[in-house]
Formats: sequence, C-alpha cells, structure tokens
Amino acid sequence: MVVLQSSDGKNFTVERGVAIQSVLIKNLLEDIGESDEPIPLPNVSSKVLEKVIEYCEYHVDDPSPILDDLDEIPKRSDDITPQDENYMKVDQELLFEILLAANYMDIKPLLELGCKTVANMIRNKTAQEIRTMFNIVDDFSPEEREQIKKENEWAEDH
Amino acid sequence: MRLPYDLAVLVARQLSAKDVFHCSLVNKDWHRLFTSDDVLHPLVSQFSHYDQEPLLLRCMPNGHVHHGEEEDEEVAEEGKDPKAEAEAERIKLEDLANQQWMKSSRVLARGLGKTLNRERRWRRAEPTCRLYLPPVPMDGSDSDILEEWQGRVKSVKMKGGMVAVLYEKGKSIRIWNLDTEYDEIRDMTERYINDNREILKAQTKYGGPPMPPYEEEQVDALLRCTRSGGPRNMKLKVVEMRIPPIMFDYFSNSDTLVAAAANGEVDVYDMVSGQHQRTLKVGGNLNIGSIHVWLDYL
Repeated sequence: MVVLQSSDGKNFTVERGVAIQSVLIKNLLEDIGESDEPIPLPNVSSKVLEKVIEYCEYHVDDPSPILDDLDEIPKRSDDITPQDENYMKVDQELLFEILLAANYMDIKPLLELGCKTVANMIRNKTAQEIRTMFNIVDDFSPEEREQIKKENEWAEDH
Repeated sequence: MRLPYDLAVLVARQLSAKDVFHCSLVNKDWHRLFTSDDVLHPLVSQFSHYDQEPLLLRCMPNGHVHHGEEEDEEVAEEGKDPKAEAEAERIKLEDLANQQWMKSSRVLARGLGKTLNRERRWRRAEPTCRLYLPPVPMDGSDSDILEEWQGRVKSVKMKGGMVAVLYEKGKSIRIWNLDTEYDEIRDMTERYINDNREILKAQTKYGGPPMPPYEEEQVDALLRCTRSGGPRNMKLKVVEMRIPPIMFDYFSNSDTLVAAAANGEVDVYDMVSGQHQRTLKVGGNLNIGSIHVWLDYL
C-alpha cells in the first residue's frame, strides 16, 4: 500500500497499482523504494486528491496509455465513456483543479479526459455563450474589436 | 481560461477550426491563446493541407517539398558524399525557412480562415482567378486578336501554378504563370536563409535556438499572394510548336513541355526559353492515346 498526503495534511492509503497510475508517484517509488512514509502532494488538496484517487481506482486495470509521437495532431473528443462522463460531472472549479492535479501528478489519461471535457463544454458555442458559461468579461475595446473584425472578414458567416 | 497556458493549449487542440475561431473572440487573453502558433499551427497543418500548399510549395527558393524524417535518415546515411551532404543541408534550410512562414500568426489566421471557408468556397465554386483566352485580347488591341487567334481552345491544363492552353490550329501553346507574385516571396525566403544560416543549421528535430520571425512587411507580401479572388499578376509565355500537336503535357519543376503530333512525333520543349530540344518518334502503327511528363520521365 502507498500513503498519499494532500496539501491540507490528509492521508489517503491506496493500493500501489492505483498510485502508480501517476507517473510522478511511480518515479518517486522507484527512486525511494518501499516506504511507509506518506508521499506529500503539496499542490493537491484533499478534495481534489479524493477525486483523482476515485479515477485511478476505477481505471486500475486499464492498459498503459500508448505514448505516440502525434501529440500535436488534434484528437477526437467524442469518445468519452459514460462512466468517465459521469465522473466529470463536477463544478467548473473542481474540474479545473482535477486537470491541474492530473498534470502535476502526470496522469495522462485523466489529463486527456479533463481536456476533452472542457473542449466539449466549449464546442459549438458562440463567443458570447462561452463568456457566459465561464463567467468571462469581454475586455476588448471598440477599436480592438473593430480591428479583429477587419482581420476576420472572411469569417463573417460564422 | 483559468488554466495554465500549456493546459489551455491541450484543450484548444481538441477543438475544431470553427470552435477555435469563436474562442479567439471571447476576450483578450483568449484571443492571444487561440491565435498563437501553438494552437493554430497544428490545426492548420492538420486540416488545411490543400490551403497551405501554396505556402509550402511556392515560397521555397528552389521549389523543394518537405521530405519527412524517413528521407532525412536516408540522407544522413549518405552523408559521406560532400555533394549529397550539401544538397541535403540546403533542402533542410529551405524547408525550415519555409515552415517559418507558417509560424506567423497572421499567416496562420489566413490558414484558419481558408479552412473555415473551404466548404463554402467549394460549394459555391467561387473562382480564385479568371483568365481571358483569345479571341479576347490580352491588351484589348485588334492586332492581338488577329495574330493570336488560332481557332477554338482544344485543351487546357493547370498544374504547378500554371495554366497551359492548346488551340485547334496548334501553332503555339500559351502558358500563363499564375505564380509570379511568389518570386518576391521566394527571394525573401532566400534572404532569410542567408541572414539566419547558423541558427537554421543548429535546428534539430528536438528543437534549437529560436528562429526569428519574418518581418511584418514580408508577411504582408505573402498574404497578398494568398488572398483568393484578388487580381493576379499573371505572366504569359508562348511556346511555338514545330508541328501542330494533338495533345501535350508539362512538368513545371523541370521546365519541360512535351507535345505529341498525330504522326507519332513527340517534341520536347524547354518552357523557359521556348526552345525545341528534341523529337522522339513513336514507331509502328501505334496511335498515341495520352501523354504525361513526370520529373525527367516521359
């Protein structure tokens, strides 16, 4: 078993197979060997770590992700399983924190799932709808807006 | 987006061209992110091969095309031959300098625009340019009509940024070069290589020292070339035929024009000088059904 410690000092005991889905922890365990000492995760709160562990426990038997050389190529994002979709039904704040944690802990499938979820939230929305959804203020000045409009004459229909 | 830049880029890479465009209109931060080359370059490269062809093929001083990593390795194996090595390096530098055009945010925005509008352009079949063939004169003069009029158009071919027309009487083949505006761009690419040779040489597939961007005026010139629907500065070349051909073909990279006559004679011409170079004779009672020239093969 491996003990993970969140930024707010809460300990979580998980199976090794669950923990090593994080490349950060996997490398750490390889470096320090077996230890009963908790592994501190200073960038992840207990609320977020709990969610991350939930994901890793569910996916503990998944095959290792294939690392490809085509990271630059845009990928499809309509292939999320219903379980994962359900898992990602959280408020925006938590969603972004899960993404940050997945990036910090180097859990590639969770990072990809988070990115796909955010992308799906944005998909087929107008700029105004995106602003409303993420509570973003439009800070373009009238001149800047005019300039952008001029640059994008070709996209008037969109 | 309340995400660090690199994560926001990962999200952006999941989006379509249309979504990316909408995102760029959200606010200043989003505009910076969604018009950055980190987001647009992979998107345009992936979805807009057709639209970036003019950029990839026509800006290079010697018209070479990117060969990919497999051939790079092949070249490395052949590296002992100094001539081959120099040639490989020249192609690598041209390729890098050419790719650098695609890093300009305004060029990428044009790429995005073309991607977004592609379906509309194809659906409406909007012409990108229009040529007026004789009997409509080049300069509107009557003499031009009389001298150039060679009957009805027999066949038209468009390849490599050129349009070639053969008329019924077959006295000549008229070739319009639509790419002359790119001469200026090719010169700019060559200057870029000369000015940044050491930086370009230091690039590997894992990266290298930062490559300076093209100047804004240079980008302006490129954008003028790639704007569809605008007037083009076409140049006409007339290649006189030795005997009236029934069909023809050409390959612009080797400046080779071939024309086959009904008697089985195939003439080879230099497209630049217009000079007849040699004649090939097809023997027997065979009729020529079609003719193609590809690289140096006929």
